[in-house]
Amino acid sequence: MTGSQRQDGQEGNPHAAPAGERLELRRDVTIWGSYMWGYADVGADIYAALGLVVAAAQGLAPAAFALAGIVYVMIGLAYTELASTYPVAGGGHYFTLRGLGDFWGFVAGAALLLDYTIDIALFAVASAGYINFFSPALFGIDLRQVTLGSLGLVTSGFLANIPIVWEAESLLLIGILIYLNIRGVRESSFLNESLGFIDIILESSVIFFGFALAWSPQMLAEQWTTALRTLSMGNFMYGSSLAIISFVGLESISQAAQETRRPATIIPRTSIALIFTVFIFALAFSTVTLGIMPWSEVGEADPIAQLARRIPYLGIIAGPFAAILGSSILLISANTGVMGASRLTYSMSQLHLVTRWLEKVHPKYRTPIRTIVVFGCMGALEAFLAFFASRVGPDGSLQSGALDTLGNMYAFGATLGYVLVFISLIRLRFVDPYSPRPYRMPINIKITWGGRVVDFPILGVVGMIGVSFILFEVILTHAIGRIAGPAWVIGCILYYLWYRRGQGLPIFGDVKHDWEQEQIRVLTSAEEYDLVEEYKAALALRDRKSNPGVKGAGKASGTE
Amino acid sequence: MRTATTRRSLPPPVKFTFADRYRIVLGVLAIGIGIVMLYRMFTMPGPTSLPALFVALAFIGFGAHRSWMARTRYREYRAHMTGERP
Repeated sequence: MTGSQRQDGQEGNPHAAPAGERLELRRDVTIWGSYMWGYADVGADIYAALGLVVAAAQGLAPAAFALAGIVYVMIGLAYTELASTYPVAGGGHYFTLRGLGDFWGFVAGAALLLDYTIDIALFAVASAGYINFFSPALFGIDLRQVTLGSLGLVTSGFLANIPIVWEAESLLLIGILIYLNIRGVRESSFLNESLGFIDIILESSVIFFGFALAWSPQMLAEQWTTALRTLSMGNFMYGSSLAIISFVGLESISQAAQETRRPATIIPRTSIALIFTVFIFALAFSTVTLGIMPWSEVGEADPIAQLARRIPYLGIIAGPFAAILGSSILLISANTGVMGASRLTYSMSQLHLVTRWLEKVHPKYRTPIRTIVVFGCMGALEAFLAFFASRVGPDGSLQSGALDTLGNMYAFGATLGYVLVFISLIRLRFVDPYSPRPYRMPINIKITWGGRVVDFPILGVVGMIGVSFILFEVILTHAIGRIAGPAWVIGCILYYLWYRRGQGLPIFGDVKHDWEQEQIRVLTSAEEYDLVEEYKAALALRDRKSNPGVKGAGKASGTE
Repeated sequence: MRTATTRRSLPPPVKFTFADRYRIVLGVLAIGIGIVMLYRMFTMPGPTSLPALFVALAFIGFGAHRSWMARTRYREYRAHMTGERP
């Protein structure tokens, strides 16, 4: 997430508006900034996902990435339509609330909140994994293999397998992120764009020189055919459901929407470019990796660095460089979790879904301290517990299991949120056909509903089925995700029931919103004046049709 | 009622930006990767890998799309500078 997340007059603080004045996020994200913003977030995921997916799907990893990638493309197109139609920060939970009402908006928010906290844990653990790439050269020992057992502190039981140094590094990184966010120090947009750009160069170089100098089509074909014979369907499903984590971060598209100049024009272009770039890179990485090294040698902790190290001539430089860049960009992704959680809960509190207690601002640093501390610590707790899944593998080496466990839960939250977003996309075509849609998901059929012609999104239905299938895979194959994920959502729903009842708000009904005025306000603030006029004209036409005998129908919507 | 189902056009480019250079380099690079993959697949002995073939073609397609975008933007830029229609 970029440093352009600020409001006029108060850097990075959505709570700092003077009483009675509603300040807007500053729209200073350009077309290039919008693209790089997304890339710095989504592009980093492959650093963590590659090792996990290859470990699960083995020689069929490219197919696992392709399957998840096709679903991801459809999710991306759905987000592109919704983010350009409703260019506000809030993401999936906002779209779901608009489409399905408060309760389901809250459920989507809870699922995405789970993702943001896992995001903090997963990417901090992965970042520490890349940092430790250097430990064998520096200390003569791989610090990821140092356990409580090897230090003699615990002699037996699961505690003996906990990689204590790696765990301590991960928790330290999360602590640093919490501290920096409380202080209001965050990475600049320039830093994000620079790192994102360097990352694209590095990833392109690793892919290009990997294919040119080291890639063996025969090795890939052999691993592919071996996996076809030996790999179980369960393992492949597990791998393909994990592959979805290399694509999450799509929320950043909608998060960026409120700060993008001319969002209705720019977002469709940058998001589609971003979606296909990430998809092709994910496919390419899995293909080049399995053509260079056996799947069993691809480490879960630092797969891109291991891959880069194996490129002839360049590996001696590319390996360490990839490790440094990987640790940096993953840390930025972890920071996205801290930022995203605070922004999401702020949006949810504004819409009466969670308590306003979370909006408390630090008196000195003017940052939302409670949200940062609560959800940062939750991420730290998840990272701490995830290392309990560590075990010794058949070859005697330690398999931390932390990344795998976190990936499990990440996939659950993401897919549940995406299912609700797809349902909302379809429903919004019916209940809000008047909002101008600068981009629509392709492949629509016109149907008549309630006396109106509606573009029914066929690809939206296909996408919903696809992401539901991945959610099904997650529930079927993720031993931890299928318990911890639903438990989180149920816990959140219990809180929601308690909170809404306590506030005297409808529990399964909706708080009254004037969405039409809200939409006009949002489009006006985005300076999309032609869309404002188009929207008003559509509302006026609707009013004239519903009240044909009433002169001046439509003025209620602000139209002439 | 006017419907907003088509893409809205960006303002014509007024200068050759870093993003344009990036688009050109990425397009050329992607086509290069695809060609290298195809060359290695068809010159080395052994079976052709279907996923590799798919990825190679995807790279070429992606590179062609980026290059086409760069060309379109360049034509718009030229037209804007000279006052001609693109």
